[in-house]
Amino acid sequence: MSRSPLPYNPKILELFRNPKNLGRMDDATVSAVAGNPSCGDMITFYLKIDDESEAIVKASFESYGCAANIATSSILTEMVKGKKLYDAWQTSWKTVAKEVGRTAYGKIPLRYPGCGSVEEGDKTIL
Amino acid sequence: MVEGVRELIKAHEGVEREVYLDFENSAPVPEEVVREMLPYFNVKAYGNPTLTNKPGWEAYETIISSAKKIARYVGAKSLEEINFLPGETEANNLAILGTVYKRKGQGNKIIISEIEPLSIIHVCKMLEKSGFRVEKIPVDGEGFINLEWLKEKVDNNSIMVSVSSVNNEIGTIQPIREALDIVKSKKSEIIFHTDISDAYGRIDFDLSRIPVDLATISSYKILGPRGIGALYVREDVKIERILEGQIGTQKLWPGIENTPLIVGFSKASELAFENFEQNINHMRRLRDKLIDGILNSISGTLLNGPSGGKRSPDNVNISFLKCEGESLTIELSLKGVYVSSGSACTRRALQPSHVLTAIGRRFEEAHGSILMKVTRYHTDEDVDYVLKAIPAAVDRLRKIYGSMGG
Repeated sequence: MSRSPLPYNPKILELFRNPKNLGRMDDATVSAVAGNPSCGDMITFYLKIDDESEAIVKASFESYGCAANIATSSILTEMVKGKKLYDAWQTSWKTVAKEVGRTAYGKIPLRYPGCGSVEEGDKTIL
Repeated sequence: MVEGVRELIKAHEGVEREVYLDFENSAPVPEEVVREMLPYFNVKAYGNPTLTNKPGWEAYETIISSAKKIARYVGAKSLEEINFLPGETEANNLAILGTVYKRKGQGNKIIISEIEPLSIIHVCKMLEKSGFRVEKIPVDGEGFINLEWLKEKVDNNSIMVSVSSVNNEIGTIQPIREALDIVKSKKSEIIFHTDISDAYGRIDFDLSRIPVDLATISSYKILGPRGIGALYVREDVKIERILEGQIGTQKLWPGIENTPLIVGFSKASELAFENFEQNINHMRRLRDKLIDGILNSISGTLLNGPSGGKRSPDNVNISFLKCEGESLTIELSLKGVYVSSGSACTRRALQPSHVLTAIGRRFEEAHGSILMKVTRYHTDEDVDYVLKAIPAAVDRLRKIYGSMGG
């Protein structure tokens, strides 16, 4: 097909308007920034981790990016919440893309920075 | 997928006001232009202008009268110099390729500015693959071409130079007369092309005073219908056709002319020019009200392009730091304010606007840019509404940006 797919679906729009787990977390165990301002895509993730169980009890984000970036960040924080660190680490951009529904061509370029950010956070702890 | 789009559209229900400012990318056609076009679809002049029957002769008469009108507004000597074609992209392709085909073997250098529209840049990139050398005139921080550079680089090996009269993204009014003089004094055979799509009807520009060889004109940029434009080719200039097919009333672009669209283009020109001074004064006032209103009320903002008389009267292009442009277009759309952005996210190439990076904007400044154009139809109430919507939109997105881990 030669026609470009449309960049957005209603799920992305809804999460862009009402993102979950938005904002800085002052009591975060770890935070990590991924992406690059030059690509217009940058995310900070904050994770609060329970010492004993190594489970993520809270996750939040800040974003500089397009609506898809904001929506997928919101989804990713929901996905990793409650997970053990090692399991959260396994979250791939493909899983996130699947969760958000059909996303646009190029909207999650190669590797979603949010996953990198969670991975970085996990690695720091592990 | 279509279902999804319907929901996106539905999300806009109940907006307080709608202000369309994305005139760079498309335009609503004014009622008076539509009214003028309508009879030409099925009441009169619906024939083929080259054929020997009444509707055909009516079409011929209509096309010639429209060409005559546009020739007069643009400062052409003769209506024969106006070649109708589907739009700016086609006109720019014809200008570049048509010249290159004609001038085969006479040199291989093409000079364009680094902020030309993609219909110039991409066709030149294609020519580079077949052995042409393309040199790009650098621009300064406001988008003005470097005339000294041009003087140095234009040589006997150059076949053509192409510089837009007004930049479509940042509104810079180029010193075309000076550029033309530099090129022609070096070698008069070098073809000089200028895209006047953003100059026509917005600045005092007359081809009889600035005798370029080729000029591109777009209809929708002056509120005419989409799908029509023209390439001005000065009487004594020869270029080749780039498409083949049945020839209508004009030799450079095959196919049967689209009479209703030509009528719309001509009517839109008439409306833009009949109260020219009044129209551009109105636009300039609203432009400055928008620019000043935004720069004075929002911190971390940058005006892209020059200000005052050196800027096109309709163009507003501002970068909002810590605010990504595509998100901003969506946030504003949900408030009924329709704009576009130079952000990478709005482009298939995932690179920010080449115009903004050429004037020295850092990537994150280019990503946060918003482009708006005002017309004679906009009101103070429209601008007041936009000036209320933008700070709220920027504020929400900057909250999402937060401290960015800092």
